[in-house]
Amino acid sequence: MSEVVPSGEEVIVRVADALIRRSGGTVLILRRRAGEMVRLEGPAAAVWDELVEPASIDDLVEQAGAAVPSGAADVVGAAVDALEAKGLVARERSPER
Amino acid sequence: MRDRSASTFDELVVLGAAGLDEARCGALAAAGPRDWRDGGDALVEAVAGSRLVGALVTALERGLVVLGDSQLQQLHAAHVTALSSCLRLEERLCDVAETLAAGGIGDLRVVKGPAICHLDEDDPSARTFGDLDLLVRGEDLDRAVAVLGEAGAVRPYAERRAGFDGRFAKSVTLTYPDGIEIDLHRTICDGVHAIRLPVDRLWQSPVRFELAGVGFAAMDPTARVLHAAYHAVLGSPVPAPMSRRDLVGYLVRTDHDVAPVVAEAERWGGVAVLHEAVAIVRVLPGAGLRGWAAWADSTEVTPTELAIVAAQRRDGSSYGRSRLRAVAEMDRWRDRYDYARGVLVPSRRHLADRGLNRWSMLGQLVRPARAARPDPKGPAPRRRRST
Repeated sequence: MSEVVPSGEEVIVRVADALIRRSGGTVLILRRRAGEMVRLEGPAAAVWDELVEPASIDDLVEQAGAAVPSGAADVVGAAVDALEAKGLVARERSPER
Repeated sequence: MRDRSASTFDELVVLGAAGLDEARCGALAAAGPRDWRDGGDALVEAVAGSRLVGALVTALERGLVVLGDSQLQQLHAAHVTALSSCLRLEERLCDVAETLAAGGIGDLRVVKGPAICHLDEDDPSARTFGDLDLLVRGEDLDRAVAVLGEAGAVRPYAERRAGFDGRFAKSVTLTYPDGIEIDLHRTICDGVHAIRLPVDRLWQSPVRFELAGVGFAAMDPTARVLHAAYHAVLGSPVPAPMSRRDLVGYLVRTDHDVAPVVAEAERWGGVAVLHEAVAIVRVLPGAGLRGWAAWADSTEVTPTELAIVAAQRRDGSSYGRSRLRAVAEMDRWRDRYDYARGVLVPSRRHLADRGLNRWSMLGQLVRPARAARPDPKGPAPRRRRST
């Protein structure tokens, strides 16, 4: 997915120090030295899965489109905000090519 | 449930093994999915206690097993609990690696749990583990124990004799105040096969992986296959379900080309161990090994080698009589003396830490021999079936 992100565009990236496991629709994430284990389900878990490669919000909305026909932008936006609030993702500029 | 659980576990270690290809899954599914709803509550509980929860989840995801809704919820809860524990262990593994590196010990190999999860599983969540295992060079072992000791880890037993661990021990177990255990390994087995095994080989051709941005190395794939075989065959009198499940996965994945693993086993003097490992898997329903079965059928193992394996297996990780057989494998008289002294006459402090004294220790060495001695009036000891 990262190949299609234009250079200089804002992308969402996972933090590098996360340890991850999955059980069914539940994603478990432990950041080193964070203490608290985070449990994701629903849209937040789906967005986390998409972020195996950095992705723009537009990419994420497009990916979610099939599963969330109406209001995908709102659902994805809320999920990204939630992940960011938990310190699991960051917003970065994609590298200049 | 008790009787059923044994056969169910036999099936589960195959159905939930890593690396089963489409053809094998198809063959396993041909008779339809196993309906385990009857008795499923007890099964899920037993599976969680045997660390096979990931295997059951894998079998469900492959459509090979059916459980009821409440059992699925119970399984999901058990899986989440086990995975949470794995994450805590991996977090500690990162800390340990950094602590050891800061102490000048940067060359390590992760063995078992996390290495299997991240290198040999389709999904690391399919395989859970309960402790950590690191391979450390023998010359670094004492220092590694000291460095982690300064970081709060405690070894329950003093060394058998000064210098014994770094030259002869399989591993040293350390426990952190929160209960997390880490085994610092010098090698991967005890006894005769520890002497034969060229330890340097375990360090060659490492495979790299990352956890939370920290780089790790593991043994190469062939060494990992043999480690699974040695652990299942020599680690305890009866291999744990998880050990068998790992072994099934490794043997299934190498079934198309057994030669490299066999050649390595020959270099390790461990053909009898590998032969026994194949026998463990062949009796499991649906494992369907062809390459390994053909190799086992065409390979002779001498009674002496079988006896060595049997004795070592009987002793498991304890220092029983089988350890003394290792003396005969040693080239240098100095090694023979130091090893035998460590086994037979451990320090008083070591004995006290284990709640033993010289007399009780002697009993420990003698007991397995008595137990193994056949009753002259009873049936002849079971002979290995010809394979």
